[in-house]
Amino acid sequence: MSLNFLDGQPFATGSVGYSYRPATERETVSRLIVQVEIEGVMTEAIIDTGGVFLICPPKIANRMQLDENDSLGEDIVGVRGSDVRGRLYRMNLKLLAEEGQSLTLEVTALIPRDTREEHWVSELPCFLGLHGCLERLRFAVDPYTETFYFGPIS
Amino acid sequence: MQAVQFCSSTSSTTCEEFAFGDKPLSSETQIRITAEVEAKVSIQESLKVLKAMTHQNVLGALQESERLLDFFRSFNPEPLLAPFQKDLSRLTTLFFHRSLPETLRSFFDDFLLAFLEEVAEAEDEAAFLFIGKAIDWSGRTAEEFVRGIKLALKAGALLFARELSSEGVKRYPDHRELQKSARVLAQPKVIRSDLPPVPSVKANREWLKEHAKDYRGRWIALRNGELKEDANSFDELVEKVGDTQGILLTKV
Repeated sequence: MSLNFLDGQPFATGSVGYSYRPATERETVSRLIVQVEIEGVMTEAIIDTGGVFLICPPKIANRMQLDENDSLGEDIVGVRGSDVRGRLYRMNLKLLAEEGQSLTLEVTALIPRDTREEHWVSELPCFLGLHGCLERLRFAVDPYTETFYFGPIS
Repeated sequence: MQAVQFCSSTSSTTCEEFAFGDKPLSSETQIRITAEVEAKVSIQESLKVLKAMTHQNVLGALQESERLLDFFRSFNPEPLLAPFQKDLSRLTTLFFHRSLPETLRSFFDDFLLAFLEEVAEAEDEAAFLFIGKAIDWSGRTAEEFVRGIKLALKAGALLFARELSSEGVKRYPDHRELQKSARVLAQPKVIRSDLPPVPSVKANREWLKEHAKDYRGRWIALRNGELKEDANSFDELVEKVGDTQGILLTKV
């Protein structure tokens, strides 16, 4: 089912059901998790409108054909008051539709550094933040049907 | 011979300290010069004091003092020097008046850039934005833009990092690092919005709803709603699966 404005113009052009469950075995709070394709790798990602960038764990990023020369050098990025050391890339993110149309967009992606000291990053799933990722999309959530609606700003 | 001597004291400056060859300056001009020299010395002394302060108490001062706040926001040496410049046509050999406003502005921005480093280190985004926006970036080098972008990222001032990279690449279009920054930090852009739906997504989701609880903490590979493999780690899973094209790889 699509979402339209009163004049019939589409608000969203695609929709996908989301899983509502904790992201890791240590978490107890459920998250909105959707299936996505990042640089050709099909995985799940948490919709995190309070977050920034597409955050992609290094293990998954290793499956992608990324050129380190195209990234910004290893920077410290302030994410929600915490320092995350990692590389910033431009990546293709595909939102997979169950109904309507799927959508591909170029986003800013942060791949956190994976070291012995920061091994926790491998435990993270992908995150779709607002700034640098979802900020130029229309989107809506229907908790009743557990559906995530999305569409371009036309 | 022409000679100009600046006073070192703001209170004891006298008109006799200024001369121009054989022709003494008019008393009106001398008074103007005296006033401007006093202002210049006063600013330099103020900046020395500011430089010696830590960023916390400078920020406190900024927030408390409207006058200082206005000074930071709108510092422009041109009006300050305008009356002085009126007489500078006679003093060009010893007093390079054309570069003085730029020098003052540059000196001021150097101070703010150093200040920016400290504020970024403290991860104070609000203070970072305040200082970052007070800097006149038009006179800054490509390397200073790159440094500013890195500091903005560290401070969590992500929108400012984007603005700075966009501005930087406009000023230095051939600078490789600024090109990269502008591309990576640019607004997200929709490439295609007319792609077909993916039927396996629903099947995978239904499997997850039914079985995810049985595989908590495990990495799994699903194809069209069927479990292909499960493993303790992502690397182990990929090794088991082989070709991962069209397969959902996730941890539950």
